[in-house]
Amino acid sequence: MANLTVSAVCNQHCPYCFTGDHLNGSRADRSFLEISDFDARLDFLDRSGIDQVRLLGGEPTLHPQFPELIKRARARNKKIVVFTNGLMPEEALVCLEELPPTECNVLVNINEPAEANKETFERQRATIHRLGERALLGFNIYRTNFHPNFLLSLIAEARCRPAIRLGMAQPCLSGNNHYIHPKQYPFVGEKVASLARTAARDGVRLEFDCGFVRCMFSNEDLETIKGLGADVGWRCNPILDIDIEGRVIHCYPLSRLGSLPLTPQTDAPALRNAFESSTRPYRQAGVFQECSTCPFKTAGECSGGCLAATIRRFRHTPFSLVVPSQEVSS
Amino acid sequence: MSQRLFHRCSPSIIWVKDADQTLVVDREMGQLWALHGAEAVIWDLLSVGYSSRKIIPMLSLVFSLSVEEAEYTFADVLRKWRDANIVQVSGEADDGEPDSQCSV
Repeated sequence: MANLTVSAVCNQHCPYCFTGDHLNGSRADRSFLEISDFDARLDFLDRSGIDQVRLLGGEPTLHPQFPELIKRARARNKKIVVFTNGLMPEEALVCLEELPPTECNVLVNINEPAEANKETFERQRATIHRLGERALLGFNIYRTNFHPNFLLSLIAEARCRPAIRLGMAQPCLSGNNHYIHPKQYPFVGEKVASLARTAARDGVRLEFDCGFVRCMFSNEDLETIKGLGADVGWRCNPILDIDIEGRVIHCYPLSRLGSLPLTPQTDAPALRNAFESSTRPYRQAGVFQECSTCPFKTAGECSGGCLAATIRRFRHTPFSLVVPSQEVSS
Repeated sequence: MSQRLFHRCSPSIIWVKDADQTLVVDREMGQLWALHGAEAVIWDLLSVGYSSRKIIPMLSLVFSLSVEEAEYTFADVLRKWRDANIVQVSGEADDGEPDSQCSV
């Protein structure tokens, strides 16, 4: 898996957006990926044995040559995955509508209607209707008083995929975005379990993005969620986000940890290994004090949560100390 | 008059206190140390600004050691951290140098 950033521009300002640390530091004169660079990204996917093109932003559909990007990816028999807010130009929507649903997955991240103006929500709704079964609705939890049930009626009326991809907003290393603090996880866990029960009655299952942890659910809720067919996973791996300047990062929240250059020789397994190696020391810890000695983490059943949230627990204390030399050498 | 050595936490060192251990990471070298027992206690006390004059009696109290044993333990831990470059010796201290500084 690797995500290709094709646009540094977005037409939404979601408070939880975790790309700020990286995209705000990009060159202002370059907002979109050049077509020739896109071809180089496709070469990277080919030599990495990846059959999906996952387009990310900003808002990727704002790329002025979005249909051309899709055409080039399809020419290489790639399946298309688009991460969008649903506020896309008509030509981008038409281009996605023309793709067979089996070859196209459009993850439409949508906020609660109460947070958007009516026109914005209606545009998103219209997009979802037109995408139909190509659309998978995504919802990002970034505060504890969230109300995602509106998604169920949207799924039913638009006949999109009977699933909701849940994300739990994680901090950028700068902490300059809204996110769920680990202390709030158990409360979120209860509400997610409740959503899973309601969704199951409508034949809708939940899928979990990275960053969820096992202990945010009670054993009973966890059994219920699994029993309802939810795709539960306690993951935190190098996603490999590739920006428009050809820098590869572990993932956007960890962009300040550093990047690796995309060269004509590098492939995804090598990059993933490099990021796993550089982040290994931090992975002993987790988002909670108890993670480093948790049996589920030790057994590899839980990652210990988002690495960005974990690293934000670390601090440098510039202590200094004067010690008589006989104390040092005794 | 005895020589007094000025030690400081290496700039690339970051740490976190977990339930049963303190984890120390060297950001540049990518190394990890898990501190337990006396090491973790000494790290805790240093990080809140305690001086060696205060740490040694605390070690003696917490681990039921004689003052001499506590001094030995403290020196041993400090030597180990110096070898690992967790702390750096940055020269001799002036006479007027405070015994410990911390800017958490």
